Amino acid sequence: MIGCIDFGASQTKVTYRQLTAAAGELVMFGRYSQFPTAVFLRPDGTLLVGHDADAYQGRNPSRYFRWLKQHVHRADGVAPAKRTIRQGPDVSLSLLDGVATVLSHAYTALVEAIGAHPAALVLTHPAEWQSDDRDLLRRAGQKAGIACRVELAAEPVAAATHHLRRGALPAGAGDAALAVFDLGASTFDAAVLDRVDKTVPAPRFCRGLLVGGDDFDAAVLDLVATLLPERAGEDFERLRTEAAYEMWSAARSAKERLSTEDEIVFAHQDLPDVVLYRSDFEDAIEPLVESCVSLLRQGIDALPRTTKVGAVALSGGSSRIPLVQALVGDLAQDIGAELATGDGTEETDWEHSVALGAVHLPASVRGQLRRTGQLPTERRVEVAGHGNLASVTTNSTLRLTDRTGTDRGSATPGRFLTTKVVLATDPGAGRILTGTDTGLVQEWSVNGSGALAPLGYLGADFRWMATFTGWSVTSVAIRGDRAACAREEQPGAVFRRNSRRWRQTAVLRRHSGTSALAFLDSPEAVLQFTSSHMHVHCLADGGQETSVPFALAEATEAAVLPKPAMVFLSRPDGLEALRVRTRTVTSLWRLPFEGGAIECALLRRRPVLLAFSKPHKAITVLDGLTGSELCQVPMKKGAVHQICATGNAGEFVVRQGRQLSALVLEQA
Amino acid sequence: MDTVSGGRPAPPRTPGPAAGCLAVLCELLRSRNEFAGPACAVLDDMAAHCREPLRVAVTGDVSCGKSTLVNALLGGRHAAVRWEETTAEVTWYRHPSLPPGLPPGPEHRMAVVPFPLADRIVLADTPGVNTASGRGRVTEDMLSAASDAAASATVLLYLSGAELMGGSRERLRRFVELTRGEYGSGFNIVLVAAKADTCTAPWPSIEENLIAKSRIPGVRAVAVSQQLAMTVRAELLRPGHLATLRTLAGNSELAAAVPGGWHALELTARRTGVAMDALAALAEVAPLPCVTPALPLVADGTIGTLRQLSGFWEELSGLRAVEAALESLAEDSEVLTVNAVTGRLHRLAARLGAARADRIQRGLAQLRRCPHFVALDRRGAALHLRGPALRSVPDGDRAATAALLRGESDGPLPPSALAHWQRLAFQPGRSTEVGRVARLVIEAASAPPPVQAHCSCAETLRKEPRG
Repeated sequence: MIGCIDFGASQTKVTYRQLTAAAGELVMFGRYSQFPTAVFLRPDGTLLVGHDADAYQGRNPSRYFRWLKQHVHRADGVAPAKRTIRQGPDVSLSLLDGVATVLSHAYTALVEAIGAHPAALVLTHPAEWQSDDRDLLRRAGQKAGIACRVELAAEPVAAATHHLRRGALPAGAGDAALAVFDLGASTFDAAVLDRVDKTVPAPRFCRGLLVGGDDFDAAVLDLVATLLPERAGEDFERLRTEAAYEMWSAARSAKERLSTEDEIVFAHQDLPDVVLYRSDFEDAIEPLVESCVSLLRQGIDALPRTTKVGAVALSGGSSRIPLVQALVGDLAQDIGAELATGDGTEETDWEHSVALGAVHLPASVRGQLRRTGQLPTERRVEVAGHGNLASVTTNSTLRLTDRTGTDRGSATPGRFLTTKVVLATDPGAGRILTGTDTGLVQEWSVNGSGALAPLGYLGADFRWMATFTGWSVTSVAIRGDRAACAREEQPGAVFRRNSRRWRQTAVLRRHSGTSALAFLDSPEAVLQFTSSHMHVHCLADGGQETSVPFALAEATEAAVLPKPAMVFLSRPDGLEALRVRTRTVTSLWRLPFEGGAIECALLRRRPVLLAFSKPHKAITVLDGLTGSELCQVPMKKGAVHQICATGNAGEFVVRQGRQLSALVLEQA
Repeated sequence: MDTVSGGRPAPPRTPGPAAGCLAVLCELLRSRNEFAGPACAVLDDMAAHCREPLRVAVTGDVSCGKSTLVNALLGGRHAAVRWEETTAEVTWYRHPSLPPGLPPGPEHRMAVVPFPLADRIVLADTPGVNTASGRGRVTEDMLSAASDAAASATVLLYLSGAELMGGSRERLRRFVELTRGEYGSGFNIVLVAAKADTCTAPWPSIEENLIAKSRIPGVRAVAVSQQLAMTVRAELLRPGHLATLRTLAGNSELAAAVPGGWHALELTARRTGVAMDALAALAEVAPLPCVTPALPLVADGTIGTLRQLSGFWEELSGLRAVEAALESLAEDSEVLTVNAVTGRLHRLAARLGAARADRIQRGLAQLRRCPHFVALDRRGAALHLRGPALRSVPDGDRAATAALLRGESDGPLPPSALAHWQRLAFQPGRSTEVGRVARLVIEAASAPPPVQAHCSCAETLRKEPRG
């Protein structure tokens, strides 16, 4: 599920879309499809938001903070995330807190509506916002508790996407650009966008004006003031000051009625009734609308002669006003373009084009699979670096193959009488670590041409009767300048490399049946997996360690992400994500899942988990922090036995029996 | 190089530090590989635009006396003047100390003239519009978003008759939109009722009519007699002209005939035996409607010397009012220039395509963090105080608020003013621009003025990887 929060200047809208659905859905706030982008600061410091804040506005206007979005891009020499809004000597609000409160309200409603966290959330912003402004939006999202992956998108791009999906540009439009006329409640944005590869909108002109529906409401009140008899003038001004919110509501209602009726009666409290004609209203607002049309025309006129605009798209609630449609229609006709109104019949379409378009923007992941080759025999592999795969054969030989399965080299770990070898790899450094039942831990290097070279032993280079004295190595791990081994019945060891020499720095407590070891970066720790438990050994200076056992409860597989310190477990009935800290292990999520062969990695700095789903016969890619599904990659040739991260962003090796494939994940 | 009476002008003033930062952005963009080609010349001109005094273009219908007015402002005969259409290209008259720059376009040229306002403005004489000759195209380009020369002038001194024709209104509207800033527009136009001496209506009413007909908030209007202005500035007055005025003032029959026009005056002069040569010489330097108000002052001795006559007629010609308007605009040169150049950059971005547009947008966004732009924001709001949208603010409060926004205030805002702004800031049912200005005022009143910290624009903008 993809969600969107359109953090508007006056109203915030929330939408979501199933990955397989063509259209987005609106999240409702009571009977409204949006809520005011406003907070009210109570004397106790708490914040009311949206409609609740609106209800308190009249009590103390200086505590009502409404123009949060405008404050983000303000010129005041202070980074937006550190900005404070002052509305009086004793009234101030951190902009970050204000925005976070609005986003939290929106996100809570979204999660309630869809019953889960979305796989990704798009936050929209004006095109002219740059890194500082967007940084505030991200931080506000974190502060608001948005747990899923967050993507940012420019509003004109989102609106253009919505209109393009609605067929704004006629067939045969070629490389024609799209113009967007977005008239909201308090701002107007004009944009002209290219279409990259005829699909993705890219802005080439973006400018805005402080003009919107609120100005039209003010125009209604100004018009009423001129039409009232003189004796009522004072009362009108008094009401406009003392009951401003009610007067504004009446004006807004009158404005909306004048969109469909040629004349209405403006009646409010004890004021004399005033007849308002649509023609007078349009005369009053025409200069404002013309200034908006002129701004968009500037952007169109500035284009090179070879660039044509194929359509002018209307967006924003205030675009519903007939005069706006007429003047923009004239502009479109002048330049020989279509006038795109989206669906145009639904109120929501005008006001929600940004939010409805944003849920279609590239915020999901897609995977591409490509066969690369076949191993000589079916066996478990580890990515060794430089495009090579390391494995241990049945006769305890360390074998190197490339990703087509072609043999590159081999070596015999340990000395004589080795019958069992375990291995671990550090693909980034091109290192392999082997452990033998003869008690020896050995390091190997792999170079670009696939040559396998022994680098030496960690610790002893000979063990007498290791198998009988419990010195057999049961598992190894290597990462950067750290290495570790676990032994059958003896304590294991943690090593650190000092230039070329490995030195034991800690003893690894013995735990029977250790099947795997893995390093974490932060906290710096070694994870030791047995059949029943995961032990977290934190490595501190001086070799002191703390050890925290965590019951694995029938986990059959584990995948470890060193940074952030996360562990993913596969069980017969599902998957689980754990966050590991110095003394605690926290379960982030669990979900039912039938399958296995799990692997994890970072994709654009966000954890992802890959797992083979038996029922779907596909590799499922999940967001590591929330468990939301990002995509599925169908696997036609049967079950997947192994998925290995290569260390390159988004690239994996997939093994199905002897078959090898390359899987590439990318942002769609 | 012609010299001007009154000595050499003061050194040229740059618009201000924010404009300087914008110039740095233009120069850095120009140095990037992706902006090689025709965009270089445009960016060079934009950088110069930001570093020069206020650019003022004199434009209007053909043969309405633009070049005569330009000559009067320059204090000498620099622009070609004849009865028929003469100006064929845009000539930019600049201070001698300004670095030599490239003209904004192929039909533009530069000239160095030390005129009285040269330290505060750069003056452009343009071909007239509304002509079949095609020469007006270069002027229309300065008013067209499709041209790189659009808004290459920050202020328009627009000459028209007593009535504003439809085409003129459209041109003014286009210029307003091209140079628009965040806080509305129209404050950078001075309408000139040209050859006002040929109109019978009182000049103040001509000015009010022009303002009303333009329908542009913030616009100013001045009625001008270019002929009289040129007479004074080119020092064309001679003792014989004063003598003729004394003759007219001393002869009641002649003085009564003056308002009737030259024909009536000529007939009366023949009858009374006054030399026609003297009257003809006077007619060459002063329109009759400007002679009439001078006669009583000559008669009672208030005007007794050529200098006094020159001063009286300089005031009457409207030229000083034009110069006062330009001087006032020059005080806001930075706000107006930044608005104009920012618009030019956005249009250049549209012309160059999405990739380069993104680079330009990023540069402009980075400038918003500059402390100089904080102050500029507030000064832009101060400019807006003059507009009709805020006419409900009492004059005294308006002045105090303007001083606060400009950073010139000595003390806090009066409580009544603050209360008024708070109503405007927080009450719904007010225009968005007014609300924005009001909130800025509240903020300025609540917090100390921003410290003019070191501006690191140059370093910040340079950190972008070179394309």
